[in-house]
Amino acid sequence: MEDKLLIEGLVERKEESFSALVLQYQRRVYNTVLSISQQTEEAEDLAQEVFMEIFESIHKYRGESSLSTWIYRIATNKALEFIRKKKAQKRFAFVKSLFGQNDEIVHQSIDFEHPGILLENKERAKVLFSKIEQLAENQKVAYCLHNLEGLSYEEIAGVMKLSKSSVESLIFRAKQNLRKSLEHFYKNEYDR
Amino acid sequence: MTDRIENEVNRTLESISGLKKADSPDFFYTRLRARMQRESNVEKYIKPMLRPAILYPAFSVIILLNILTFNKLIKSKNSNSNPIENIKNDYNLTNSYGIELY
Repeated sequence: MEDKLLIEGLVERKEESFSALVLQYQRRVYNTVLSISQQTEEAEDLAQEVFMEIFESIHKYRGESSLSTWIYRIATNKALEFIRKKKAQKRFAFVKSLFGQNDEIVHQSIDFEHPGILLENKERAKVLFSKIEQLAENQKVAYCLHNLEGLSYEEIAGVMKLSKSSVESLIFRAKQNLRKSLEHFYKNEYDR
Repeated sequence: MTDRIENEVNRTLESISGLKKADSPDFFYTRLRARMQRESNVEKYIKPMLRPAILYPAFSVIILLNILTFNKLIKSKNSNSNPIENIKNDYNLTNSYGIELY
């Protein structure tokens, strides 16, 4: 279904428009939240929340960007909100542990395995994902959207509401930082 | 050594190059609709009860009832200070036979 028809149907709360939208975008939304959050168990819930927000706030869509850009924006925001919440929980658990309350520190996703990774690359990708997780938020989003979701610099600029050159610089810095932390990682591995 | 590390870094950075998109979970739409239905019920029946216009008066009534109950309890405690005296009074037992019961 065409975007324009989809939007009109969604505004009119038509069931078939919503199901067509979900069918058309579910894979992209699921992959985006999965790549950024790196939580296989939570990704489905997050993707559901993205579609619920689309359904609730379709009247706010002004058509300034394409529908897919708008959806990607909601998906990245949801994933980032989730990460912030997790980090806050982790900090809270840490503070509690300082006061002697035996709360388990919230699990960190160092072992995230993306289901689409080729078998022979699994171990290396695991290391790479653990380093991607340590990147600054905007670098992580730009890097994931480009390298994992295959979005162009222009599309990412639309999603992140930045200029194309800012996106280029974010991705460049993300690659540099990844390179640095991987070098450090492998140096330690060889020194063992 | 440096070359080996460089090589490892490059291979790791390239490890996601053949990445395929993950499939969204089965029955995604069905589960999404079920969740939306659940949440719309909460929205329909529970959220209106949490509006300040309902919540504050309800809270005030609860506090008022608490205060009244507490007051009544204190009063009844004071009047029950001597239970034997109370029973004597209630059943008019003191003066009919001219004897004290205790």
